[in-house]
Amino acid sequence: MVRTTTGRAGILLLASVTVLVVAAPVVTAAGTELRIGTHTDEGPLTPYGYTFGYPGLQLVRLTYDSLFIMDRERRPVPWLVREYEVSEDGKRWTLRLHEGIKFHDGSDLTSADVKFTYTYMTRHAHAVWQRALRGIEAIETPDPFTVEVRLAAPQPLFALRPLAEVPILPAHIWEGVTDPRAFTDATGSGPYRLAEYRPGHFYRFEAHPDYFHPEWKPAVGTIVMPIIPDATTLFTALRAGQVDMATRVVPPELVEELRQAPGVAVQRGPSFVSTLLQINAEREPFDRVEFRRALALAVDVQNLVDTIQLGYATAGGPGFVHPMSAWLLLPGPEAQYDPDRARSLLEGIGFTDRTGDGLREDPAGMPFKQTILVYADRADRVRAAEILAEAFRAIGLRTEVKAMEAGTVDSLVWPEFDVTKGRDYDLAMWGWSAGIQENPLSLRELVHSQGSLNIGAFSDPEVDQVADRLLVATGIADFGPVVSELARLVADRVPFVTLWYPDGIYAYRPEAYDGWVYVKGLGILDKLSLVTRRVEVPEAAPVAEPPPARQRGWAWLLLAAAAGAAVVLFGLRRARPARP
Amino acid sequence: MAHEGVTRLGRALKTSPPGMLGISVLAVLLLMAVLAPATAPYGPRERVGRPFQPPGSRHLLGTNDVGQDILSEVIWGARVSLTIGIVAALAATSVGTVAGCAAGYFGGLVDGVLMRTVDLVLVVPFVPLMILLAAYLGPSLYNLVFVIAGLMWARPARVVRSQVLSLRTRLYVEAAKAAGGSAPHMIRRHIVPGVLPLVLAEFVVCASLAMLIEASLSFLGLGDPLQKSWGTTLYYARVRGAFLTGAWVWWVLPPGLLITLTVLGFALTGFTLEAHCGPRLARRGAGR
Repeated sequence: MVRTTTGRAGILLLASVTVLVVAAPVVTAAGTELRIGTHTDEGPLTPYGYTFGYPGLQLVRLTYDSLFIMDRERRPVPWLVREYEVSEDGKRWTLRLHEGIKFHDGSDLTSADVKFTYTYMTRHAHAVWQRALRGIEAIETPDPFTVEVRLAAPQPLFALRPLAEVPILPAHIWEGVTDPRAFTDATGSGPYRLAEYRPGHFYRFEAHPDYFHPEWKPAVGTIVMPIIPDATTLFTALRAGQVDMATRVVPPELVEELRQAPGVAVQRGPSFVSTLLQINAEREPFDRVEFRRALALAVDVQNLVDTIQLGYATAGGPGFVHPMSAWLLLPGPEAQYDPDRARSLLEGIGFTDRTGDGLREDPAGMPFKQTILVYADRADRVRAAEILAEAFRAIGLRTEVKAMEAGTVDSLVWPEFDVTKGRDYDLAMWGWSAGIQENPLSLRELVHSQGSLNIGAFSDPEVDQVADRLLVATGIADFGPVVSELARLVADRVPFVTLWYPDGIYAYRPEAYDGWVYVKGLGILDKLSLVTRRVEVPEAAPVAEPPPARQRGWAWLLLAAAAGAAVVLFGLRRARPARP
Repeated sequence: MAHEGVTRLGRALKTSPPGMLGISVLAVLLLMAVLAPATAPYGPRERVGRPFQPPGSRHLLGTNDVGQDILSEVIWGARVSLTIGIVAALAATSVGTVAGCAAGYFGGLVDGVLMRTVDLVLVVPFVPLMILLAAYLGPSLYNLVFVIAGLMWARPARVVRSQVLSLRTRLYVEAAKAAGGSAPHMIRRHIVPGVLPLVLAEFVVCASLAMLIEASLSFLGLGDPLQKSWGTTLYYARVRGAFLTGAWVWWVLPPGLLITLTVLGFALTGFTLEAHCGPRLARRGAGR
């Protein structure tokens, strides 16, 4: 699900990549202030206390470091770790940390903190990396800079998850914390320290003066992040120069507008977020593969991309896997638009129009109707659902769109976010976050009959068999062929119709800061965008009071005064006739 | 008597220029809604061009975010908007009339309970409650009508009750009651006809309010995004960036102006009607 975005993972290069291959151009001098308008309040920004995967987890990564980091191609490369070895059987990882890593409070980050973090996170479940931690048998710390991890079985994706995912906590602060979700101290070792957080108003980060990395240093002195939930307000602020970057993806209709705005630049790249038409394969007639194929053939995904996304998207591949995914060795299957074949498929399974009203009845001769559920507050998806309904009517299927509050849709499609709790829908507009594309094991969860993300109760023995081969992979190279085969199979069996992958489009003001790096599948708000190759340590900028809170105070005061005046005037006028 | 009361109202409208203006505006808009299939250049859901086109010869008000003709959308939207206004007002005034009549006629405990409920509804902050209810019940046309009616019946109930109170003490009513008229008979024969002109005036005021509420709720995204009302046109304009691009001129202004015009029409009509039959002006009627 997009709203509870899980962690990002990436494409893995197990070969000993020890140096980052990213080079960010550097424009901004240290001591400057960067203002990033963010569209959600993400809470206290501890590893347990953020709300959404984006931008929340990205902000957590500014204040915390992990042992590995995902580079701009989303491959895990060492970060806190200087060098590492994997034993021959793949079960023993020896990690050597950099020396002189400091937490924001000045204490040292050592192997003890690493061990503490991994132990703590095993004990206090975290939705994103909980699974990945289960395979750890033991962690040893022979000296302050060496961590030895013993695994129960080889994990080819171990560097990606958990190593590049889990933020390292300061043991001396988190020791004794029993309720991590209520804990708000965000002291970490990351390039920026969370200096101030006023819920609903803003975040302020300051550069970590003793950042450990020999090459990569914080790029700016202070980052102020006003929280601006409304899209129009956020992009107006950007255009007016009140913020230097907006975390929200630029909606397609604004791209040209912002591109032409003076002083604003736009970066565009692929995003691994996906938009789908989810099918409840448990319910008749959606349990029939011919019916599902007919649905897929009736949809012109390129037309959807052109209409809803104005072309700023990649048309969905029927195999779900993004064409740019590095897991896909062979070119993925292409979407086919063939309403005539859809019609003949429906005829073939007994869906014919006996009454002559242009709409088909089911094989028993009863009128047939299917309903598409959609979040009422997602205008783009509502529009897409309307277009889909039109396409299905064109092949003779009576289709109704039902826009409902997001929580209600979730409770019908994915009650309690637990697929074993059943479901009650025909079709639903759905979306998965980028992380699902990045980790091949997530693909199994999506289509395997026992998969934890299989919200359509799709079940196909052949798919199960291929998906299970992902589990027994012992090396990175094993994944590619399986993923390609699975994509081909998914395209044929249609557990859902993949509609599009929206482009990640981000707007910023280059004159304020031009170090933004587009991280594949993710966007430009990333730690890599905000560190720079530098040797000298930037000075912290003078503390500037961010304006939103105050301004708002004045506005309210003014409003109250005006309202008061109006009441008094009104009262006087009303009262006058009563006087003799 | 009912017939006579309504005729008197008609006369009042004819002789008052604002009333005449109001009723004409409404008539034109109603006609536009009824004749939508003939006057609109395209169907409201037909995708007839590229999305986000500025006004041109083929599309006088341009196209919206999925390439539907905005002019057609606005003309067809009159149907949904006016229907919601009228249905919600009908529901609100019906409930209000029943409650008002019962409270006024029976008095005592019935009056107490009903009027305290009315006080409660009147005193609760209207806009937040409306948003809360709409969000809680979920987006659908019925819920919208329900929310609007549920919040608006209190005013007509109050007004009707005061009229009933004054009617109840009229000689002919007391005479009929003394002659043994049962409560249902009394209400049907003597009370309802007496309040009917007033109810009509209240209805018009409610309809204008209901339309405005529908537009506001839809604009905020709490309406049914699948219905083509003026409010939803505004909603899509807002969420698809019309306020940031220049598109608001042809996407926001037309439905906005139409809403203003309708409300103005209702208001002018309503004020004229109210001025002629409101209880506070009953002196004039009593003198005759």
